[in-house]
Amino acid sequence: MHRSRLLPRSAPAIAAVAALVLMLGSAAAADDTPSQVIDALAGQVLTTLRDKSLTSEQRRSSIEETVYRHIDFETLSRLVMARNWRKLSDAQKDEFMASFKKHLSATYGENIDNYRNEKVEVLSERKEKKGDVTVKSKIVRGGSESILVDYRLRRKDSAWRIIDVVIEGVSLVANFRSQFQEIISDGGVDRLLKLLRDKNLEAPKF
Amino acid sequence: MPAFARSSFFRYSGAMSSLRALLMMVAAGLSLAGSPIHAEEQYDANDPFERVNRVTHGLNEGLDKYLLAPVARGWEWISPEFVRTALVNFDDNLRFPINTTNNVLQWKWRAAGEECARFAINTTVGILGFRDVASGWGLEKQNEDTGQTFGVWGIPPGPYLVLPLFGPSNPRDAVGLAADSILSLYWIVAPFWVSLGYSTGEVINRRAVYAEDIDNARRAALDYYVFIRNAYSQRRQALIRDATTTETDYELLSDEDDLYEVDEDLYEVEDDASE
Repeated sequence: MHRSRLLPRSAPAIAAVAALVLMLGSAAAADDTPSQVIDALAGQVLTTLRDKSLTSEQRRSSIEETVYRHIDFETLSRLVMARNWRKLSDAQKDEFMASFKKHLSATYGENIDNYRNEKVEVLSERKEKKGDVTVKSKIVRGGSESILVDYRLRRKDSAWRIIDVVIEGVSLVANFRSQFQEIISDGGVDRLLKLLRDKNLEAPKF
Repeated sequence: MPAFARSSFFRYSGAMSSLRALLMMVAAGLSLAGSPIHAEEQYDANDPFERVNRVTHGLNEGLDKYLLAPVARGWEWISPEFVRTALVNFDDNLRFPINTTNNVLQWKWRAAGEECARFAINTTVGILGFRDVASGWGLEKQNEDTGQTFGVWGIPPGPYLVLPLFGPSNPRDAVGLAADSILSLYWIVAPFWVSLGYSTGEVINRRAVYAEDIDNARRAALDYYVFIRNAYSQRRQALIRDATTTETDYELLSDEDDLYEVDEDLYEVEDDASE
């Protein structure tokens, strides 16, 4: 009985606190250093992964939204396509970005239910050319070896956004670039777009 | 987590120990006769034997699909996870002579000492190496091999090679693999067929342990052959670079790193080169 009363009464207070936190959060975001961006992002993702009250569908969409907010997907796409970018018409660029994003979501979304209490440690920061910054981090897994993950960030619209993820020395951008380069030189941009479409069709729907 | 490039995945591809010598020698002989060597390893694929490599890759994939993976799934079904982990630890502990020798050959005396300490701790406290106690004490697992040592010495990798059964490699790493199998000292301790049996079991166990990573990789890739080729050379390069570079030297390295420089214009000149 008490409980049912308690909830509605404290609801405005909770809402107020939440709004405050959100405002502080967004105010801080503009001045966050790259390490802070990664640290906060990891924290949010881990909180979602640990939240037992969510369905896996909710977890997936929440993580997807959080992560993409911190990725400069256009720059990432251009880097992946490199010299092939200008071969694309505007419509093709849009299609490419949409289906590449979908492909990444489907591929990595699959792993969300396999969370086994991994933790993320931000290790250090390194300045790169063009004003980029690499944030080095480590995924710590109980029982097995930890994984080194570097995030490369670029400042855009006064916020640091991820433009590449380098796992144990393997850059996602470089890896996809080499695949796409080979596919395009064999069958052109159309072949790449078709492959992405097919891949997305066979992928599980989220 | 993009598990496609977890270290374990590539350790798996290079994991199959011992008795490789003969095969490696053949491959090495083949490749010494092979092509001139490109300096740029990371982003320009040096793959003059792509046709043959793709065939071998297909055969390896077929073997995996119809033989190794089903057996590994069976093993995964009957074995508890802690047993599989223990077996990986045991086998990693046996890599002690390979790790230590290569640390010394790369003049990393501190790491060599740490590897000795790891071996001593895990073989005793860790019960013959089945438990990796040392990692918890700040002595992390090491991943050294002779191919890396050659790289540190400045020997270029040469063209990409897909070896039957052993997967992605290159002349440098193939010779390194042969050297590793000698350094592993199995051949002193165990007769050939014992070591063959052990290696087979170990490969099955690792295939079970990394099943998820491998599934992920296949799902993530649009061209699995290129995916592996690129990831292999990036990974090898990173391992070699980590051995030769201290944290502060990265400034120098970034000069050759044009990965993030690509405005479309930058490549306009050579735009047609790839067609």
